[in-house]
Amino acid sequence: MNIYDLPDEILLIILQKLDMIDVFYSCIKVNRRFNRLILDSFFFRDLNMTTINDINSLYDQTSSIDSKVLSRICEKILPRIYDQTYRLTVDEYSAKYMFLASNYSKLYSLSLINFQKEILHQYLTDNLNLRDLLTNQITHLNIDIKNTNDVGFNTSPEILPKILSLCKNLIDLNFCGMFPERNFVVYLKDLSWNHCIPSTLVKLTIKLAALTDCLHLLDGPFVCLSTLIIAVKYSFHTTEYKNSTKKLPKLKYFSLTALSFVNHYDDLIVPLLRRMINLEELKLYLLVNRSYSNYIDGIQLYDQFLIYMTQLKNFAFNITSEIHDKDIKIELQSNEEIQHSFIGRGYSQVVSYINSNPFALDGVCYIYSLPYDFEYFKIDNTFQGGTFYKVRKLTMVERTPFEDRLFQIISQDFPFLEILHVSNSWSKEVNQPWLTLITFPHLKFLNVKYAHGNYTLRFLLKRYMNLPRLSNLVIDYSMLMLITKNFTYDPTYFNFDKLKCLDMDQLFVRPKNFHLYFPLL
Amino acid sequence: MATTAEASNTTTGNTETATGKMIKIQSNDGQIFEVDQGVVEQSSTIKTLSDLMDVGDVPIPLPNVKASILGPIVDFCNHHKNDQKPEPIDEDDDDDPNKDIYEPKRSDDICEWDLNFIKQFTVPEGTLFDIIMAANYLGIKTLLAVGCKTIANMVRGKSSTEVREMFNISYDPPGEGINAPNAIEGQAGTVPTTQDANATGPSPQPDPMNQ
Repeated sequence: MNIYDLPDEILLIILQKLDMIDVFYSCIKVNRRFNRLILDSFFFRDLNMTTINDINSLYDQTSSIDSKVLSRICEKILPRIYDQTYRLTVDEYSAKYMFLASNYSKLYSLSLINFQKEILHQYLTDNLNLRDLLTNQITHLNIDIKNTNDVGFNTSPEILPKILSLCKNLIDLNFCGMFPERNFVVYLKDLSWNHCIPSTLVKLTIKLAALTDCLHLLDGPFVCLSTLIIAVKYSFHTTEYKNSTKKLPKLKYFSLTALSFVNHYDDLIVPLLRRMINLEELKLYLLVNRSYSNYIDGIQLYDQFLIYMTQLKNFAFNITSEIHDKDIKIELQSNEEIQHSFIGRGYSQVVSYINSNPFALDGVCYIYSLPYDFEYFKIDNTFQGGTFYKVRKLTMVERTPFEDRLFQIISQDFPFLEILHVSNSWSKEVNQPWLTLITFPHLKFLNVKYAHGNYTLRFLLKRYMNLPRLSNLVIDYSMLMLITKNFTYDPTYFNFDKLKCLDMDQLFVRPKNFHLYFPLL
Repeated sequence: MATTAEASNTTTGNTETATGKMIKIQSNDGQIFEVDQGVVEQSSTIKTLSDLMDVGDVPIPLPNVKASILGPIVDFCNHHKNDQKPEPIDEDDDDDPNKDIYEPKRSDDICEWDLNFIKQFTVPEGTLFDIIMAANYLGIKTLLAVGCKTIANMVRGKSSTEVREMFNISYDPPGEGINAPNAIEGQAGTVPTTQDANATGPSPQPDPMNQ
């Protein structure tokens, strides 16, 4: 049997496993059948001119496309497919070839991914073909800005207003909300909203610096949105904010993800939610710090805002409330009381559990709805298990040593985990070796910067963990030196083979045998 | 741990095991394999046939698969029968502009066991295509994906000329000669294509894209 005996549908499956560049370079000229298959199919409806299909390395993503190949593709093939392309994805490398012309007559969706912010700004300012497309055609726009190693947070106020003023027909904008580990955020403090936003814009996905940025956003011209998906990165306030009482009747879908603990749940988030009177779908992923108060439970959620959302059809949540209550003694609820608070108020199935410290008068309460609908999860020793297909990013944090069982459990319960942060400076004495080899088949990013050395060893030694796709590691320099015994330990013992990015707290001189440990660095 | 299914030596019809009812399947050269429900669930074809036919102890005939291919397929399914099932992806969601980004097509995510498994099938012997065709016929999506990704990985980075040489494809230049005067402009749908693997044609020619 020969490849020619495979039917068209299988050849198409094979072609779809390749990057578009490979299809152009390797396949389109093989012969007439390949040529026909590619040109006659819907291949070019979605034209992805990048070789970066997902985040393999957060910091150092260089395109592997040969400039001659790209130039020939643009010269010989693109003129024939301009009018077949509805959706286009480019990175900063391919952009200079793809926007030599603007005659994509049917293009409505554009994704600009993995751009440095300065280069993106330059394109938006200088490239007339791109500006022409954005002004006249693009209704769906995705923006992704790559990470830098800048000290401090990575913001830029000028790109967003420029896009909003250019894109007259924009319906759906995803601004830096595509990949969870990107650190670029929008910081609205310096934004001037004197100019208009597109009147057509109804859906916005955005990563913001702080909660008050979200509030300013909704008090400004974005009041017209029907769908708003927000991730908030930091817990501090960037600006003063006075609660508005103005209702948000057009908003039908609201998703708020707080990536750090928020201190102003009661005085900022609750009043905001009360203004969303016509909301039909609500998603809340919140880490809440509370003082002088009790855990967030079903009664509070209902009385504080759900009762005002008469159109609400779906409410998905994962809310962690952490109580610090050193001064005033409040009796914290039991898990039974938390569970009881969800009965009879229209909730679907809710899981709850508590990790309390009766002596310190504080504790953490976890409540989440099922089916679980978030990419994020945070666990400690009280984790109750379950199967979480959607979770890609997990944070393990605890104030006492992790239970050994936890590592095995998370490898099973989060089968598609890609990003893991381990934060715990406490560990049990290791009296006996771990016997079970644990596999995280999809884990790409591991942060053990705040982890006890025992956990670091456990994750990075192949005899304990199998991490076949680990490409990003965040670790302290001193810990790296310790576990490798100053680069004298056998390099084959470690899960370093696929690492493309090593993020450490300090620069260091690479030893001569560095490449034996990190062959891809 | 994969195990090769063995022919049943029971005399009481269906065999019941810890994993449920055992089913017999028969290759086109007459060899019978006994598989459990964990294997049956991975093959939409076998599952449909076993549901439709009250097969009892009669083997389900699989006329498109020979024993030398069916045996390893049973191994593959036995190995994967306890795998986590990913959430189904909505294939019809063509309006999602983020679709390609959030659901990246990965051809580098073949696990080590599958990599070793697929190595026993080769292009020169044609067995790599046999296993792909069999996976397609049996409706085993995971195996079909492994086979297609393997071919994609072989193609990646190669020039068209190298691809032709690797798969012994005769050169049949698009856009030239009587076959496809305007093929590249989209009229190639009516153009006859060479399906015969043994067909002779012009030897591989320089490729303008790869120069």
